Amino acid sequence: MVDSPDRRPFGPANILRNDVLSRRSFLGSSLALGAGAMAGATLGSWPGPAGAAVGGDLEIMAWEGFTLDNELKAWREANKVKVNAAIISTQDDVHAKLIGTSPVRLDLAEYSQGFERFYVDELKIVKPLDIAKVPNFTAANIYPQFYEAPTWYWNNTHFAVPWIWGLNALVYNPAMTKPITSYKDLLAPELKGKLTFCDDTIATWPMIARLAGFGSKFPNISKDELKVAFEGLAPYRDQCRVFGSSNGDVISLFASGEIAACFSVWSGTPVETAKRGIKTIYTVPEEGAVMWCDAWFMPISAQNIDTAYAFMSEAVAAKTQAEVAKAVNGGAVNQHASALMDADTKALFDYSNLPEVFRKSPLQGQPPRVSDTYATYDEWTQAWTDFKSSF
Amino acid sequence: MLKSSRREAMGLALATPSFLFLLIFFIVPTLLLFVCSFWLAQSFRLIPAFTFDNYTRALSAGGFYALTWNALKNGLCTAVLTVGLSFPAAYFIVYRTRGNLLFYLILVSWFSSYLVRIYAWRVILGSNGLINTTLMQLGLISEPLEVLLFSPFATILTLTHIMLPFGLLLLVSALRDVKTDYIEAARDLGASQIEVLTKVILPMCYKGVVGAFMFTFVISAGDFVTPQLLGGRDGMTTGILIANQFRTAGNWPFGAAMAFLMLAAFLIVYLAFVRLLDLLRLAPGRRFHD
Amino acid sequence: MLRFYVWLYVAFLYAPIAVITLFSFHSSPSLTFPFEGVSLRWYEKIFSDTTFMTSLQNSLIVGASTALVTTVLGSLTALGLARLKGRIQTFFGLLAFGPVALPGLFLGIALVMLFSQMGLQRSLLTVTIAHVLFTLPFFIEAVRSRIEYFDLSLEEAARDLGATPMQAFRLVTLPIIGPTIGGAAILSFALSFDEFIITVFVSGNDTTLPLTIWSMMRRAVSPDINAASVISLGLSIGVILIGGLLVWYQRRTALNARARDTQA
Repeated sequence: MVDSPDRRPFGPANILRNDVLSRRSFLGSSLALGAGAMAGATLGSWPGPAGAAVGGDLEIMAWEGFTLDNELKAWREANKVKVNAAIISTQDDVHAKLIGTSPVRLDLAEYSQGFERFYVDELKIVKPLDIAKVPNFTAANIYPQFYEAPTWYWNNTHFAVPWIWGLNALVYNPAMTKPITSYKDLLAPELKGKLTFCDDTIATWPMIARLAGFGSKFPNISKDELKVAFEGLAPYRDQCRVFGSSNGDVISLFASGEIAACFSVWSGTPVETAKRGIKTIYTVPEEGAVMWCDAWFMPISAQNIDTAYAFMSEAVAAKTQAEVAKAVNGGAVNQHASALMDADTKALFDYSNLPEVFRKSPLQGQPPRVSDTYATYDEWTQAWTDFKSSF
Repeated sequence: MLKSSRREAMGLALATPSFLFLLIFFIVPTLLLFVCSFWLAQSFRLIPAFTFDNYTRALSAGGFYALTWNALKNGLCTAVLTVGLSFPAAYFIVYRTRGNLLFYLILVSWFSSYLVRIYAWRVILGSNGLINTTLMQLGLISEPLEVLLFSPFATILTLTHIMLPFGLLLLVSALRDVKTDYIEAARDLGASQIEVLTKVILPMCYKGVVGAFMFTFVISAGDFVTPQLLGGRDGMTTGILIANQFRTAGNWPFGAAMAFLMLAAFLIVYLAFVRLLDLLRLAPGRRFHD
Repeated sequence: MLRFYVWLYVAFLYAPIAVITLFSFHSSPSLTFPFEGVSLRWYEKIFSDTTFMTSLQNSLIVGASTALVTTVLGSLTALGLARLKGRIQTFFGLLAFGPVALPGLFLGIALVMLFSQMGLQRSLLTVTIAHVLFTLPFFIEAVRSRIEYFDLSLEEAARDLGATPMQAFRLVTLPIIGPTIGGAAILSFALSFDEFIITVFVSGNDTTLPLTIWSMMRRAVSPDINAASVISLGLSIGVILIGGLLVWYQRRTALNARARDTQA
């Protein structure tokens, strides 16, 4: 990351981050430093840089591998931007920072499809975007399935910029099990104690409904159907010894040989386990996969607005898209990106026929927040929690 | 007289800043949490109300009892092991050594990061961990022992490891109050080793033992990180449920209600433990008033 | 027999720490024997990781601020408690010990509720407040036991001989309880440096070292977590050892000086 002169000379971050420690003897300076830290922090947060300048600190929150650390290195250096990235383990981490009367400052964060109405209308934590300030995000550049789709755009307002997508499906370790082609294969006796679920509701819930035969109805299935779906999950639960509390947890469980397969998880998992010397395979079984798409949005607590806009625009530029798609085994939203990809990355998805990809693995939303006919989000959460704790 | 009241006024003045700090950041938040446990929440917004819904909801969910039982089990096993394993060590340190070196050596390990110790046990106990690979290399087992990790065993072992030094500290300070004179006097009067232990030492350091037990119990039963990382399928505890309400699910009043129910469960265990010691006639009260 | 048991007890306490330390120097990412070779690669990696270095710095700042505030509040309270009697003393004593008698989880959620109702943004300041709450009881207990040995009438004799309250404190009380206060301050630093459970709830964007290790554990894509752990262990244990030595050295010089004075 690039160091740049901090533009908030009185901000607490500035006082707290100076490097007095390295230069003076520790004990001598600790008193002064402590007092300084307290005084600085008491002053509260000062406004960010005024005026339309790109640069300074940018506080973002994104999934591991999605912080554009390498892809936007040159842009950060050219614009003297220092990105501080907090990592999302589950989508809940994002709104946990933004709710209440004292939201934590975040200039940009990600949400996946399904959270849009909840974030915008209910929690009111999203700032509407002035899309003209994201010059790379235009109808000419972006695939129509993503541009102005209802998950990010309604009432003539852009609320977020979709930028990367992919499929969640089964991941398994070929050294520990025979090839898996169907979810039913997970019930094989030799996988006893070797299966896990990941605590990623977006990736798992649609598949739970699909296994029970309610796939096309999701996210709107009745309360009784919800019950049936989770009852059908019991044999899978009995195959598990441990629950993966995050993507990273699943990766480390694969790496330490604790599990042989994970129910429905991020397609980039094999890339990460390979770094730990374990080969795993990502497969779309006959039951299909679950599509996800992440979008950048500007939280109400954003301060460095212009830099945030510039960052989003860079994120959807063709070159960035091609690079990040390769890095995370993901899909690009920019129509010009596939031409810049290597063969493997390009072959991940059928870019020439995106409507067909969408038909097979639809981008499905989330259960309704309030409903009398259908199982609500709260009821799903309760069923999911019971599932986790009835282990 | 004058001097004494001047002294007390000075004492009050000196204690006031801390009192204010504890008032604002301990008493007020605890009361606030209690009040909030009667509120309602919708989509992370708190709605002041007065309802017992959160309590009835928690108490009517079957899972709550199972998870609380898990938490209490973790706490009880850890507390029994910690006190049981530390007592002989504390006895040795107080009556058999002169210097404090050993004592300090044990205390220093208390300052090894809590998370790191959990992580270390995960490395040691895993399917490809030290114990399993070593046993397999020696040909003692052919398949990894899976009960080692992601089991209540792993949770309790790690919690005990974390709590031992702290338990020892409390036991040592309690035993230091039992002067060797009393023990020698008892010996001179013909008491056996066991009688000295149960009739002199234990009753005299009763408070320390109860304190060590309760501290260990409360901290380990309320812990939500160790069971989550090492407990596997049976690892869920009330602590995790409460933490999730505050971190992710967003129903703070419900989480607050569960927290107070958990404290109530702790209190019941405390009273039961004191009663048990009383029945075993290890408590001082009965003996001195008989 | 008992001696053997106690050494086993110590070995059990240190074994996991030893294992992690050993593997932090392992040249391969593998965490199993046989040991393939020694290397510093994980340390190089972790020291060039900005997230890690920033959180280390944050932890040092929070630890120092916590130690400072706790020392001021705690010393005043310990001195005050020695002057109080009866019910007031019992009440203060119980109140001051309250925060450690509850699970960390409970303090964490109570504080996050308070900060949210106050509209106070979560930051290193809120983390420091939480850490002071957590360390204060330990500090007061540690200093109190020393003050109980100290005869208050010494200070009052100095007052009777015409010393101002400040002079009496500086010339009589401080030299006696000073080393204990220093030791307790270091204890507060070490407790704050390792605190995790409460910090999870009250921290904002700035992470502390345990939070970083936690997120490394949840992501766990690289064995440099071993190196990070050892640095964390080394710092807290090192600070405690240095503190212990300082207190011991000061006591020894004080004793020697007294011995010389009586001989002369």
